[in-house]
Amino acid sequence: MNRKSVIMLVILAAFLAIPLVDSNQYHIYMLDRALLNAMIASGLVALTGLAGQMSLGHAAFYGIGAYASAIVTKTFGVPVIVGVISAAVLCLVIGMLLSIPSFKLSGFYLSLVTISFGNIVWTVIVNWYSLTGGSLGLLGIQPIRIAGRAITRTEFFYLAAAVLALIYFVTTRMARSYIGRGLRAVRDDEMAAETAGIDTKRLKLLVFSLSAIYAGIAGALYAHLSTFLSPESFVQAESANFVAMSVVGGIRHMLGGTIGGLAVTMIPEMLRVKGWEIYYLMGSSLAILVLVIMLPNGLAPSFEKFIDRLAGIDRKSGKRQVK
Amino acid sequence: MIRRRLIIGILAVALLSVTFVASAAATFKIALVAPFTGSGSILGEYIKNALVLAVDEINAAGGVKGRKIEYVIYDDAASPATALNVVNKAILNDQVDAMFGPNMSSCVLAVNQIAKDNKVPMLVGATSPSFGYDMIGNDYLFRLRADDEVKVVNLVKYAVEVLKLKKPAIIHGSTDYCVVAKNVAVDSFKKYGINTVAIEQVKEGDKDAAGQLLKIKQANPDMLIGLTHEPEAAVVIKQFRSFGFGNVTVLGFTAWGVPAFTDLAGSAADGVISVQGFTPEYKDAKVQEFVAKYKAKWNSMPSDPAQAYYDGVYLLKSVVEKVGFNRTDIMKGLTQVKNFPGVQGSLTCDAKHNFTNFSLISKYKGGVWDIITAIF
Amino acid sequence: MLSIWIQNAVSGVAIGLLYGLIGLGVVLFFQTTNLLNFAHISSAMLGAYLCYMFNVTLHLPFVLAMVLAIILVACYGLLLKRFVYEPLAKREGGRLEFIIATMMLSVFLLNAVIVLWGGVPKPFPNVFGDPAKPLIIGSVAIQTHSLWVLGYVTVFVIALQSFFTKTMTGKSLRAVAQNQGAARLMGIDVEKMLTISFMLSTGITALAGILLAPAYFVSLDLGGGIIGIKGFAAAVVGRMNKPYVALLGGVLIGLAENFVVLYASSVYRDVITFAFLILFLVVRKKAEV
Repeated sequence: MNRKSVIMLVILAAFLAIPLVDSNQYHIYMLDRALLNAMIASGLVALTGLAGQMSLGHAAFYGIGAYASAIVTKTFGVPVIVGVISAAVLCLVIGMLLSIPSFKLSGFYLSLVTISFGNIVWTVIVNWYSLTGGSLGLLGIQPIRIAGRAITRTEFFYLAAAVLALIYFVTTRMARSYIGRGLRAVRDDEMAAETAGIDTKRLKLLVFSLSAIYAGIAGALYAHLSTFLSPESFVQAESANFVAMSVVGGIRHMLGGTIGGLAVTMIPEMLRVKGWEIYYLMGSSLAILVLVIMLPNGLAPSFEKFIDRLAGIDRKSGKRQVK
Repeated sequence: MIRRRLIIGILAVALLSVTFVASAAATFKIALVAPFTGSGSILGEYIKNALVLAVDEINAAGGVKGRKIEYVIYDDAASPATALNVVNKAILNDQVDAMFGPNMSSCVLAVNQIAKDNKVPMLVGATSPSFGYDMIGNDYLFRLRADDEVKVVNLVKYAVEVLKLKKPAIIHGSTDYCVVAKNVAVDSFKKYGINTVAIEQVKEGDKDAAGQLLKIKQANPDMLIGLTHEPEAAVVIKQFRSFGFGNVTVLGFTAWGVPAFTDLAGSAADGVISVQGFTPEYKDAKVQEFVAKYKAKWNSMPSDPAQAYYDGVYLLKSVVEKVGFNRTDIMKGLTQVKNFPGVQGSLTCDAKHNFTNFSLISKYKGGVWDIITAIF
Repeated sequence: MLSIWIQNAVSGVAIGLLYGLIGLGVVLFFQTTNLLNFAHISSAMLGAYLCYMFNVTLHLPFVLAMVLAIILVACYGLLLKRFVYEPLAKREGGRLEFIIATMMLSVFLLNAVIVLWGGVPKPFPNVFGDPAKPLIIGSVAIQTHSLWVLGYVTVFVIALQSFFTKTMTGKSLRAVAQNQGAARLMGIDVEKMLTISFMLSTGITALAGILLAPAYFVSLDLGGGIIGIKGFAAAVVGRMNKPYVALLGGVLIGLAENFVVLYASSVYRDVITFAFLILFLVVRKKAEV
């Protein structure tokens, strides 16, 4: 084991120890939220960073996942895990459908399709009263249970961290496999990739549904964390926020989603200073704006560089970046 | 490189400032959660001003049982998810003794569980019947304003019994505030054996209701019931006037009775009948006293729901003075409130944990609200 | 029945022109920079608020207030270029980074406006005609404001078209958009051209904002609402390169919305309009973006 992995493990361990040393339940709740956001941002890193497809509508999958799991567990009284799985399956199917426009469109046109998709899903959630409760919200969603009691926020933290680790593992494995190489080829030059015999449609289908599943799982977990859902949580601005997370974290870096999700969830909360309530969104959007401008490659590459320096690795010789 | 270090430095300072929790001894700590940004930001300012006014008055007079009231204010951006974040912060991080707001019903539903679990009394100005004590049974949740159901029922009653109108058309928004009102209105008309001839939706942020109004026109109604927020109300009434509806009476919900609406609508608002939770024009000594104080401090006029939060702070003060600082005792004390003199008349906690049914039915004429009846 | 149909169409065109007005600015910016500014609509909001401040709060004459507002917003365009575009271009930040940066910028500006002017919408002075006294032709009401918009838009589209095809600056701008390197080799001052296009697009959108204000009020809906997306949609229908088609695109969207409400459902209006938009994008032949 080299020094770099040791340092990484120490940082990971320190992060995982936060709920054990910090008993402030508000902090832990925000960490829970941050981990869920990191899942969605990780999906966007795969979608945009790897495959070059853009989505400004992922709040829709987040919402579909949340409502699907909530409704399934509420109606049929099944355990939460069944709800989460059904949310993932539904998002898989809808993600596949959304990938169809991407066969033909890219860039701005595709982002407009995803914005439209997000708006459609939102309007349906708001107005389908019998199913979603509409703007009145969906009340009384069961929390996740262990041994007959609702889990604590600390336990939820470890659950979410485990799910995120799984997501990270799957994405990294995929990025390093032939699929990842194919996706990068699609990103860099779609025409060339097609000429080289790569089935670009299948790859797009795969990466769209994968990122949809991530968002769906995050949504399902959110539903059981908050036990109440209402459509305001799934508006267009949320989609933009998710993309901001992936960009702030580093769209071309495997850790980008995780770091961005944590940073963009925590930074605004840190700016909730007394007497500043009307400046808080100004401050947080400015902070993210500055981060994007100063570090267009995101926090993750800088983070890695920092660790490399700690480990004494010379960047110039030991260059190994996902590009 | 230097720039990057600067950013990291700033972030580090931000982190530290969060872990630093101010600890002052022996204050009575309350939180206000209200929308200051986002779609509901119209109301945040009124709410904050009224609450700060009441707190400053009480502190200047020596506080509550010898303790000063300390407050924290958070923005919920009119979003339940954000409301949940900030209420978590208020209750678990700031450890407040009581909480005012959120002011939006879906935000109240999102956060009521955590207030209940941590036994923090919540006094809210949200008005949907969806979170009444009969619906969700939260002992710690109290409502400072009249329930929307009561207001809509009274509006319908006035339209049918006094104005003798028979063919209602409804135009409503898409938020819970509008949708609940719509459902109540349709049901109340049914109780009179009246069917609503047209129901149309105009979405928040839309600036064109031509399609909806023309569809309503085809149904040939004799009254238009407006159940939207303020900007959409102004859009609807302006277009309504230009389409030549003839002799159709316009009756609007609370958002149709505040300056945010009449300022935008201008002369088009003339003749609108609205049910209001509050109007500074109401000639009542308590109301006028509140209006004068508010104007002196903020140099602007109060609007609904300012009065509710002003009442709320004094209500809480009186209960604390009676039962002490224990939060469960405060909750029990709040349920026993009887005939407390407030800006909204005499406040009594009813079975639904509502303190008041106070509302007014008024008609807008030549730039002022002409109060027709006051309902208690 | 016929009069209702015509009235609906007239109202649809009126609101559609406003979408097109925003779409025009999108097309203009895209044509000259090949970029998308998601804070585009914020320029409209700033224009309306500044004009309101100069005219109503500071009692300046309306025309002066309008000119001042447009100049200030054009200066903001300069800042946008200097502090957002240039650092990103220097560090090879891609289009995605620009999109996210401008999205955050629009959140920032929206909240800056809340801090400065509060969240309550303000009525705009009736300089474009009293909405309570529309023009009545037969039984159809037409807002005088709509006629102003129509007039402005017609003049503007013609001017823009000849600016791009007839003047040297216009041609240079297009050349820069197509290929910056080649344009530089041809002796075009690329930096200057970019500055012009940033100032032009923000200034023109500020004017659009002032024209929108009688319908949208001086409100946050100008800077954060759905109109920004509908402006983009109008631009897309115009294929991002033809200003007058963008205008038609806006009108088309406005008409579609109003007739969906009249003949289908006001509740699911947006579902139908957006579904049409997706269908439109997918079905038509491949785009060059």
